[in-house]
Amino acid sequence: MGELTAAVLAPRDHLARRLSRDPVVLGGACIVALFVLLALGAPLLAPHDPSAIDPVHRLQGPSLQALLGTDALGRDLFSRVIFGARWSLGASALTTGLVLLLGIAVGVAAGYRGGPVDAVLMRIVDAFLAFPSLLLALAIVGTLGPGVFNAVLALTVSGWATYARLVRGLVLTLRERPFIEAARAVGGTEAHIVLRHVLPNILAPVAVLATLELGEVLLALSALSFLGLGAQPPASEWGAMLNDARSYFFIAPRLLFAPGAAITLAVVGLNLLGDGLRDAFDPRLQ
Amino acid sequence: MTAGGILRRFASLIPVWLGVSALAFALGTLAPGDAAEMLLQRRTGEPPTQQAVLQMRHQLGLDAPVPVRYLRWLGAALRGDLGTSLRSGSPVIEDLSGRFPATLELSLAALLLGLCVALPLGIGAARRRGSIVDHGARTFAIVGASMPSFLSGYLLILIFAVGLHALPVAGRGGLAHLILPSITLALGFAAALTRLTRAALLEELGQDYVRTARAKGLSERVVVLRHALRIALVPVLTFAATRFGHLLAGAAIVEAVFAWPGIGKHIVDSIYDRDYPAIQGFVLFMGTVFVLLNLAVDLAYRAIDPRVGQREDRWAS
Repeated sequence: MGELTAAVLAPRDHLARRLSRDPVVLGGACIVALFVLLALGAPLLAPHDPSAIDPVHRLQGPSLQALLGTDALGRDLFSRVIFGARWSLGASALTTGLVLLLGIAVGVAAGYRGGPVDAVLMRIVDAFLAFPSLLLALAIVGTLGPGVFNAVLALTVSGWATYARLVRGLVLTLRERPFIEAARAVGGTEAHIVLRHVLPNILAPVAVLATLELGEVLLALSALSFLGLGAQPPASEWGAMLNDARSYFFIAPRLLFAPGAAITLAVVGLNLLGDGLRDAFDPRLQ
Repeated sequence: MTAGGILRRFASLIPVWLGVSALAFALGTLAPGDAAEMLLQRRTGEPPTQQAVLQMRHQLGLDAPVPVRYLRWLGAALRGDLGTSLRSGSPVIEDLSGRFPATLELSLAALLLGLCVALPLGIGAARRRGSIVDHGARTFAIVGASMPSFLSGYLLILIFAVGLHALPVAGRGGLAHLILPSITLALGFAAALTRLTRAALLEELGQDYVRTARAKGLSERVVVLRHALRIALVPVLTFAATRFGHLLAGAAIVEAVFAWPGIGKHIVDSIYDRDYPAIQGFVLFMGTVFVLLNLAVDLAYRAIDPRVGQREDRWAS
């Protein structure tokens, strides 16, 4: 099997070299790396405690002490945006992980098993795909009640179906490939074939789409928080900060634009990276 | 496409619609707390007695097993009865259908606006690949798709309503009220459409028939507009039509920013007020709208391109 794996992997080494020279991928990767760094190093990078309330210095404009000024409770906006990377990226990454897990599990089961299992699972997928996911997420989190965990749950439930369908398609084409048939012919168990041959071969395209999905999830999560249904104050999640800032929009629009710009930049980075990877990897994925 | 084909296509939507209805019903059963207790509490303003709760549960049919309740609910829904809103006290279906036109107006305006921006921009970018127009279009495609509508909406308010006093800040009224919300809603859509138009036209321009047309000495204008664009427009317009559903959904956020009295703002208000029948009704209502919308797009697409049906049938096997 070693040679076969090497043969499958060979074009990717070539790909890695090409990717490292692609300015779009590189630019996206830099932006994403910056945000990951902000999230991980927030306590070191933020000049102030993001939740330290200081009523005397509330709603102050940008200064040397507070680079982006302070919010309605006198908290340092710059530090809150930095710590916001933890909340927003963390919750988005968790959601994306759960979406992929569920999507892959259902997609592999449907694609590999086929028959009635496939038919039933795909009808369920169809029902979920009948909605734009944001509306379904809105309804789910609206029923469960506001909160960051419920928002993650709602986005998972509303997002997995797209991936289940995609993975099923990939597995269907894989199933007929000679090396899978060979594995079956030499008596490989079903679990062995799925784990060792099917999963590794769908991971690459799924990882590319996960990068794009992460951006979508970040936007959706921020939207829910912006509507007051996701992360709750005093959390410095970007969407929740935006919701807080709405009441002060006319006197301090920067409270809204700082987290808004952070969301936009992070999503631009993820989209550049994802687009570049997708184009390089597999033009067939649209 | 034959009448039988249309009918078959329509029949294939029934399982999807039943799935949607099951989803909407399941959502209602997920709601925390007891529906009967909540209703009584709302009516009287104080915690109801055990006796009253039991009576109300029986009255609402909540003591029946779940499958029975689902069938009853579905039967009522098919007759147009989605229950009574806890907040307004009026039938849920009236609240929803009363507000839907405002959302439809906003989404149609955004659809039109997006097409008017994305088509010329995408075509210009494809015709002059690598030019400043192309770079502009590609930047727009990335930034427009990445900017959340609650940010672009407030930016537009700050510039055109607060700064220039040119347009109203919020609310629904004449055409002036429609401009900022529809631009906000159109932004992400226009970005995606620009990108697709560019890609689709570039692909066609690389085809043999384009080379033949050029070799025949046809003007570049005729080659691009009469030949390549006609083919490239098929996936572009299909995408625009399927994305219309996303515009209806995205309107929820735009409506919150601009206090636009549509169905999205209504549902967010219902969520704040824990009006579960309204939320449940909303899911079924919008689910039905989307299922019908997809059917319409599908039928229109098949009418344009007869190959679609065959291709799909082959995939299904």
